[in-house]
Amino acid sequence: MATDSDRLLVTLAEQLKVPWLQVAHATELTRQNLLEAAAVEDETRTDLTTVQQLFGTIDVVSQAALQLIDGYLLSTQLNFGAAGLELEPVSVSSTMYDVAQRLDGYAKVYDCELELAVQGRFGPIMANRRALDAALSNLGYSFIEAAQNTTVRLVLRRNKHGISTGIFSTVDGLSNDLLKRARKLYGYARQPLSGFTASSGAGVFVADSLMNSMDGRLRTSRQGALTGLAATFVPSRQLSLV
Amino acid sequence: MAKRPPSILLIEPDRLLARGYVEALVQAGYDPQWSNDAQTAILAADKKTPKLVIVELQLAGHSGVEFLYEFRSYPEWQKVPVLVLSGVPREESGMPGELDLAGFLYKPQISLRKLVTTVGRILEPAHAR
Repeated sequence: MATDSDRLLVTLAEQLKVPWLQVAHATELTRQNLLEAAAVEDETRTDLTTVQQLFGTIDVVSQAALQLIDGYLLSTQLNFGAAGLELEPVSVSSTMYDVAQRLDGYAKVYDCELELAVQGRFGPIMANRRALDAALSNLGYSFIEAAQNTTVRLVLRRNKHGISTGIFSTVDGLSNDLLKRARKLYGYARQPLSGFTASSGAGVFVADSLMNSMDGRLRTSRQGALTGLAATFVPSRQLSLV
Repeated sequence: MAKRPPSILLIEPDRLLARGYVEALVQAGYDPQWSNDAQTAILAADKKTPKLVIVELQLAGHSGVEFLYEFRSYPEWQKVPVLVLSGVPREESGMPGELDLAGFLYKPQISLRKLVTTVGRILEPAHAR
């Protein structure tokens, strides 16, 4: 019987094929473009813009792959209670800004419109900063990859249970039922979130595991016409009294 | 009059991977049309019958196999060669033999050059290097 960690690892390995293929293809095309440019006597015909774009792609997809690996590692460490990963007061709005900055380049190569919607002022929540950052980043990469050429929005807002943070897009197909089934299927099925993404959805499951470790279970949610996944955290009362 | 480049319908869910395949195919003298799901691919084929279909089996919503059953159900598309280019290995794909594939490539094992060579072999067997 596979453990959750085994299943997550299988999903991760499946997902990592994509960025490595993207890097391999971009490298191959870069080499081809440079060889062609070198063969042309008139140096002004060298298509440096294309080469720059290809290097840009290699850069952002490598970063996305690294975030996924790091997120997996962190979720495994959190699950066995590694030292230094305790819950602490975290400024969720500043984490959202950092994540938005990180996702920006990836959104551009996928032709997505990335938006940040922080509705109001928020005090700290009880979470782990690295884990929250990794969860939102990996969720963001998954949404951008699934959305392609539409809007992806990072949303921070209040609800009756606390402070909700999540990622939303115009892609249909997400529901609590799908998520519930997918939690049972990942690692066994290649496309546990097949109505939402063609990939293994590793970023969603890594984010789910990380959020779960911080008592912030992911749920589907809506914001206007957008559907997304968000987790709700309890505000850190201790600090709000200071 | 210049010969028109053979049109290829590429069905690939990932935008960045599609961009790489399209660029390699254009450089090789083909006219690829990209669709990211089965529904838009059927509409694209209806608009312009391709000389070759390249399809990933793992798509969001309807799978590549569902697309192929639909595609093959139309008499005018029954002879169009289909090349599967997938992240799923052939032995794990459960691909039915009746769908009559021209080839099956496993993405992690092929380069863009290999893809272009395979396409050339399917479309221009006499000239394939």
